[in-house]
Amino acid sequence: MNEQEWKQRYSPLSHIEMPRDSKIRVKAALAQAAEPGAHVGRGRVRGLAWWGGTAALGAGLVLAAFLGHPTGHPHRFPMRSAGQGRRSRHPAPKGPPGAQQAISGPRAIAIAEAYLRKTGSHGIASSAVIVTRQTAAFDAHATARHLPPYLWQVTFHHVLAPAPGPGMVATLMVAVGTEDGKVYGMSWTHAIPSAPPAPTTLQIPSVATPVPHGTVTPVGRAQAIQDVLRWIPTMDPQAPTPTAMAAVLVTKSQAEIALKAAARDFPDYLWRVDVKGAIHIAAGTFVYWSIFVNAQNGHVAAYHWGNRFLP
Amino acid sequence: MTGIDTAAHAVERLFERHADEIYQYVRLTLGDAIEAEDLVQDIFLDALRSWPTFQGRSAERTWLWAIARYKLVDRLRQRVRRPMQPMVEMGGPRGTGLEDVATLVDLERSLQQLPTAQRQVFILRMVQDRPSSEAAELLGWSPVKVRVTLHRALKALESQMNGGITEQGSGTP
Repeated sequence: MNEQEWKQRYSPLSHIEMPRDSKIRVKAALAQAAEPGAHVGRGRVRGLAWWGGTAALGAGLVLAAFLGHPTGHPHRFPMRSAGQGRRSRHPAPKGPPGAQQAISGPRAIAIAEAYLRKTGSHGIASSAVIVTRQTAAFDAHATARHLPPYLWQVTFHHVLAPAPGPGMVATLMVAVGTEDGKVYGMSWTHAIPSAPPAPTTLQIPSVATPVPHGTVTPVGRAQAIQDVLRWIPTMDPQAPTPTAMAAVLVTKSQAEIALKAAARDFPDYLWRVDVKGAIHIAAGTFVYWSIFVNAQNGHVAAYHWGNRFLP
Repeated sequence: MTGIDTAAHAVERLFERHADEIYQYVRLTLGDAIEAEDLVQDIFLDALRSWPTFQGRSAERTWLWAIARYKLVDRLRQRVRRPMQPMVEMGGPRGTGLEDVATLVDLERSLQQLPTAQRQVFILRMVQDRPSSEAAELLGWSPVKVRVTLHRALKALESQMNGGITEQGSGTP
């Protein structure tokens, strides 16, 4: 093969361009770096006050126009510092988060968004917060064994995904390693929100009430599993046969904490049925569902799904 | 116009002109779209920081490419080796169909089999269609080294096409 033929063969690669949203992000980063007193990497930019002011504003407006953000703030999403406003029972990482992160928050958001796009969905992140692997695992109903010590937990509230069901809203969390920028998992929560208008006093309980010993419900364990396995194909007719891994009776408050949603219509007891999908996502990783079944009538009240490492 | 806004505007102008070609070079060398986007940002932030020390002894583009080259080498040294996963669908040309994407993935994957130096020269010469002299200037090499390395790269790819290169770790017992 001569050089011309090689060029011809590899010419498709010459059309690769930097994605537009990424360009906008770099411009915003440059504008931010040029602000007075801003740090660029390990050094400090000096004497760029004029450009810092105007270009930051300009880039902010460009970004706002592109994203349709009403405020024109150059930051794309509100960022929370580690642990701020969290209700997790696990502590936030000790020490400055910057000491452990090679991936910045906006970068983590970009990675999470790109990952979401790959799954065929689309969403705008509402927050990114550094959490310990225990917190990430707790929130994703997964084990922490294979996670790095710290992760960015990127939350999406406006996700364009298949309709979860009448009246249900979807929240998605994507866990991105703070060191390697790898996506370690994503978990969806589909729940019926409180009936509008929600009273301000309706809150997710911070302490779960345990199921009293010897509690018997109209719908038993086997019935709940059967109901769930019948229900899944109605949600996704193409889904291969799933396997029920466990069924545990939980109280309303336990379900609310697990789902991170306050639901006034929940019954006192629900069966949480954990189901492993037949689809092998990656090495040892499968789709799993946590489905909450009304223990009074066998109807699915809410569900949560994501990818989980299942050895 | 003061020196302050000259610096900022110069980097912005360089970004407008060269972002795509640098991104393409970095991405095909790294084999990772996300990492490439990250690195391009680092390169231009570095350019912004280094602008006051730029004395105009070379063309702006050559200076920028030198930064890109060094940052890329740094990144290659730092990165933890992991399986390459070309992510063509995320930054690929718009409107590519599934077959095109498969072709792009195959092409990218074949490049990842080459040693870094061969990959770099192949990208500049064969993908970006630059003459030897320009590739030599951007890589900071001699034209002879460019020609020799390209020759080796083409041989390796040809051998790969003919099944001469086996996957790492495989072999006869």
